[in-house]
Amino acid sequence: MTVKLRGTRHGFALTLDPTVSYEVIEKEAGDLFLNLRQLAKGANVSLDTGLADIPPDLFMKLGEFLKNRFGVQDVFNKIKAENKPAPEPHLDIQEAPGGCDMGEMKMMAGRVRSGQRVSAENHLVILGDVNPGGEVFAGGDILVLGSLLGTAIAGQSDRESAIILALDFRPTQVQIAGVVAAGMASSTGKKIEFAYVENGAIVVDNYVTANPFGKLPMLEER
Amino acid sequence: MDGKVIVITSGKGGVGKTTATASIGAALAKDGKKVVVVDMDIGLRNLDVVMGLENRVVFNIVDVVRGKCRVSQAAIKDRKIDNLFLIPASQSDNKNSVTPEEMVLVCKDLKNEFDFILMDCPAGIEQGFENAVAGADEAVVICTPEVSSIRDADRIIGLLYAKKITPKLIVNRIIPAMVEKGDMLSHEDVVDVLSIELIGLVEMDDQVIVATNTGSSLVMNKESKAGMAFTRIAMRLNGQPGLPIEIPRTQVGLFKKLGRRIGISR
Repeated sequence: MTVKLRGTRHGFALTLDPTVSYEVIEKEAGDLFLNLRQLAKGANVSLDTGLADIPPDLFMKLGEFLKNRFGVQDVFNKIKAENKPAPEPHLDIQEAPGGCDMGEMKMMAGRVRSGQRVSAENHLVILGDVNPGGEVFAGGDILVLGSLLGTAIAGQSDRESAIILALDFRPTQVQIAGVVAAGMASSTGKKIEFAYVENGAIVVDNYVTANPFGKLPMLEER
Repeated sequence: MDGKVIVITSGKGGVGKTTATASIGAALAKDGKKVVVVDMDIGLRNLDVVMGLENRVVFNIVDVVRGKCRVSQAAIKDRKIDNLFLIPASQSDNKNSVTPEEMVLVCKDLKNEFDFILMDCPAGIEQGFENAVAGADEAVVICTPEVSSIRDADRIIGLLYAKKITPKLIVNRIIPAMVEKGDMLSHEDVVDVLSIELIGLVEMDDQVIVATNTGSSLVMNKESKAGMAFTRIAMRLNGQPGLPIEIPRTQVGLFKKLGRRIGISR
């Protein structure tokens, strides 16, 4: 492998060997980005060749390729960028502002109102309520420490292990990976419940009695 | 004079924005303030009808914005209350005839001449809403105890917060008998979802229809429960925020009253 890809706080870092021919680099980078699917869209990619100056035609060609093919927002030179202040994280207009980004996890306090959408690349924690018509979207788990009355979409795009948990679990709709549970029988609420995928269907269970992670033999990274 | 611009909005249509605007405006004016109510529902003018002033309309808000007339020419004086004025909407233009920037300028002019400027916002979240909210200092959101109205009010509240306006809530059309039977959402349920400051609860009242049809003011009728509720809302907006909020209830006998007192009955 001459090309390596890893996730960073601000997007993705692509490490490559500039001595290899461009065709090989393009093919390997293409394969890696194909696996990322829609996560690559709008992301910032830093290129690391180990040199202060990336050959300009390699930089241009690879940048154009990633932007056109995968909808990458920006491509920049890692070593040059490190000397500059970090770029502001990109926010959509519909996106609620603020939130504390704890590395891999996004934690926000307040109320997600109808028409608002909060999304996180990985896990999402909401300290507050999600109103009907509001939407929470995450690449990993969604924890709502309050009432979940809106739509929750977890494990995007294909993490079937993701869960959606709420202290008061009465969502309009939940989706985990590609599985959708619409028109669920409404729960009575006021008990801590969570949704997970089992045999290709979404199951809702009482978190306290089911204790899904109590069976794990030792601590593991989520 | 340094007036206050208050927009009255709801998101959903038909929840009582126009009635509330007319009633709160009348109550503030009765209290001695100089008040203008502005119909921002351009193209679907009806605040003038509710106030019984439709035959006096000459100029409208679009004329004021375009500079075809002065504010004092467009403001129609109410028939009964001296300090109450109406600037009607245009019936022949549409919502895109004015821009938010133009409305900010008009609001500045109005603030110099009036104590309170009440904007009757159209339903929806499009240009008409943007125009009505542009110059506003404060916002009042009207909501009925129905899920559709609550959802739209929630959306509006989110949009108002995005514009740095902290809205206040009126729950309109409460039917106490239905709430007590559990057939209607209570005001507590509404406030739970919307979580903003409540400034009034208005009961369903047949007098509203009578007042609207005759073009008379609801707050002039001491018998009307809704009229009295709007009067108290006006007092809260006019420097008495601590005035306790009365919860609409059915007429009940002694035992239920006792039960309420000791907390075993609604």
